[in-house]
Amino acid sequence: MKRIGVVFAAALLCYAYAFNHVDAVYATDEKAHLTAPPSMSVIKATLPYLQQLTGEVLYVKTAVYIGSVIKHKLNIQPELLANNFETMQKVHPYLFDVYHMENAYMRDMGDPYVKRSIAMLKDGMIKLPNEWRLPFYIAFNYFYVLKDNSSAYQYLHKATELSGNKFFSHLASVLSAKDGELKAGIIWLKALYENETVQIEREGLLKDIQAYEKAIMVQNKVYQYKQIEGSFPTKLENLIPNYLPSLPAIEAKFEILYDDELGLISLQRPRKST
Amino acid sequence: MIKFNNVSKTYTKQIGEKEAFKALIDVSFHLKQGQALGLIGANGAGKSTSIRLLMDFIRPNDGEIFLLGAEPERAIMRKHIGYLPEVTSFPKNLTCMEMLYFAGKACGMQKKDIQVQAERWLTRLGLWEHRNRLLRGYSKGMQQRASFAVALVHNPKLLILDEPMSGLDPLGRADIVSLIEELKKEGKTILFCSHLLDDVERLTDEVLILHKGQVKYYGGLKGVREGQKGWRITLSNGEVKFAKSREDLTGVLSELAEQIEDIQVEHESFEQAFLRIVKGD
Amino acid sequence: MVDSIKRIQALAKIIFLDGMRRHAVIGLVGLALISEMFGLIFLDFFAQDLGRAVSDFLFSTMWVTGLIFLFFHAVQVMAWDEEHKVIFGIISRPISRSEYVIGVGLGLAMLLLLLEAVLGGLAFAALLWVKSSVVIELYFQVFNYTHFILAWFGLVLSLLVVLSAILLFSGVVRGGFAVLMMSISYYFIASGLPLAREHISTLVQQGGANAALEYILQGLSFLFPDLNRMDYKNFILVDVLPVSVSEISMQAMLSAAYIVLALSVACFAYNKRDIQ
Repeated sequence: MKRIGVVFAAALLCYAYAFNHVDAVYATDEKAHLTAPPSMSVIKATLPYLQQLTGEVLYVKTAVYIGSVIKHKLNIQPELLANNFETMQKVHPYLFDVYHMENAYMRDMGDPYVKRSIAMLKDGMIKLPNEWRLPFYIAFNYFYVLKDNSSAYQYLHKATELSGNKFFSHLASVLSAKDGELKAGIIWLKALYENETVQIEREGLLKDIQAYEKAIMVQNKVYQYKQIEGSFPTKLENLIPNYLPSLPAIEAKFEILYDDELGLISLQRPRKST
Repeated sequence: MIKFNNVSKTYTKQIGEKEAFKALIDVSFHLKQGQALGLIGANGAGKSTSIRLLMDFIRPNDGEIFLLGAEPERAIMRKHIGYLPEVTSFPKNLTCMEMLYFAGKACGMQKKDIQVQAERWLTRLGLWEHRNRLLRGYSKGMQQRASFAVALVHNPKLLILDEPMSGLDPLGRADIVSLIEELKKEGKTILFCSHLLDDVERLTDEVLILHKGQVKYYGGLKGVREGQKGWRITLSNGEVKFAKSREDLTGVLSELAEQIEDIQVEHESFEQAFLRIVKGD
Repeated sequence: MVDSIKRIQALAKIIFLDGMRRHAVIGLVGLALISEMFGLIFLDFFAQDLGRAVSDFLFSTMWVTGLIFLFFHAVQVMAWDEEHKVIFGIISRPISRSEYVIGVGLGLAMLLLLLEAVLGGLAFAALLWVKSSVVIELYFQVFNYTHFILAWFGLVLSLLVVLSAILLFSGVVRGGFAVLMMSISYYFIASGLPLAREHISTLVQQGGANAALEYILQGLSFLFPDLNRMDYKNFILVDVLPVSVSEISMQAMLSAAYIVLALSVACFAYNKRDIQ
């Protein structure tokens, strides 16, 4: 028994020493690891009931990887990350955290990845039809990264429908104006105005409606100019005095922009000076 | 009670075997109510196969079997059978009482009747104090006795006992022998399978000797022995002589008349008769 | 009939007691609790959809534990009975072969139900606790108790389908290992078949495969049911069922009918066998 005790104690000491050494090496390992996700077919074929759990495990692995990348200021591997997100989304399309995380990180990985992110979010809208945050994320990606405002405001309207939050519609109408879709924008503003009960909000909306109405009036004059003169005016001032006595003053909340090639009037929020 | 009519059983050929094993070949016997039949034979003679056929564990290839007037496949007839297997077969994680309750319930007994019978048989078999212990904690002898209790709890008409003395010490064996004698007196029909020929001779009325799947002898115990085998002559100097025939006896008497102390008629023992029948000598 | 039920119940009781004393249930509950405690460490990652992550994890634990019970205990029961000759002691009673199969099945089903009831109760309590602890309601908006019970029934019914297949294999083949291999193969075929059907269906539509293959796979689905169809754990977090009650009832009836069919075949096969 004594001999066994001595052998055990010696083995334990060796083990403790080796453990400490190896663990220290592991702790200083700065590489962030993320493996390619398993094939979705394999997951669905072998683990049908555990599909969702597999998605969640992949999510945790990805979250750890991203955390490590941020911590050690490493370069992210975009294709690997995107593949993992796509597998997670296919395997567990009901888990909102996946959309939240993929939207946050794929947005900064370049246009092709933003488009893939949007595709995932659109899939998610089918599975989670009542989740307003998904159309909101899509709208944000279209607006902020892809500069596709018309697509953006479509999804903002969807977000409004689902959330009942008027802000999204208001934002949609601002984007409509930016894109030259003044008539579409004014319809939304008027709908908002009709349903608004808070007086100060109604006053703000009324001012926006008035600004849109003035811009629409100018737009109509531009089309009239084209009909008579045969081309769009090179600048809005050319409408004076035959078509307009003067350019209408629009509230400082908007600045009026004019595209002389398309003859399109748009309204834009003025850029903040830095 | 039991009728075996020209029953044959051949086990399916296994991988590596040259031919299928014929366990029973055209075996017939009839056990009447109140009788005790001893089933004996060497290892592999077909005793266990016969019992398994009776209990419907296996099915015959040829012939007919009737158990209490019905085919063994009619499970309900087993309500009247108490079976003691060669190897005790309990789920080891049950207590003896739980096993008895199961055995009684399966035979349609009421809970209070099971309790009464369980107490009767466990007390008779010396297991009452151990009734709530798990069966895996029992010794081999205790398990054998528990198995006996399970076979008797539902008051069966027919007892099929396969090596009932297995695992028992001499005291336990004597106890079981007296129990079987009591059961026989109560009018139970007994099919008794054993290697212990003394017990078979003591407890049964008829005997069936099997060898290599065939019936070598079936009939009363008296008919097993050929009768008188000879004379044993003990001389005054301690020497023992044996005379097989009357001529031999006359010869010895005439030569050694003054030295003869004792003369006894020698009968063939049951074991000698069994060996003779099985070996064909 | 009444006597038959009593015999089946008596046998089921001893199977249940034997299983309990082998610590089949207690051991697995312990295993499930340890894995759940371990899993709690990772739930911190799920900020937005905590409710879903917790319910998925708990139900997945119940599923895996149920499968472990089936593959490591249920598969062995009939094989143990034969190997240790316990079956002789049982069917020497007036218990028919069919009653034996059904009795064993009922005993194992009782053990499985107890295991899943304990784990289900713990899962319910865990979900209630998490819901009450979440500060931002958005992260765990809905916890529907009725749908939780529905998801639990779906899980148990799926496991009972697997159990009926195990009893069928136990009736047909001898030896615990052979039954285990057949049961695992059955599970993987049943899991993979829906995906194969989907793939072949797409190919057929595109003209890349013979339509007969689709029918063959449909026929195979008759034998290897889709175990995922009763997976209702996603419904726990919604108030309105996305599928109709009639659809759920039909699926439950399908599973129940499958169990009865499998047990019938098991009884038939066991009646024809020699027990050696």
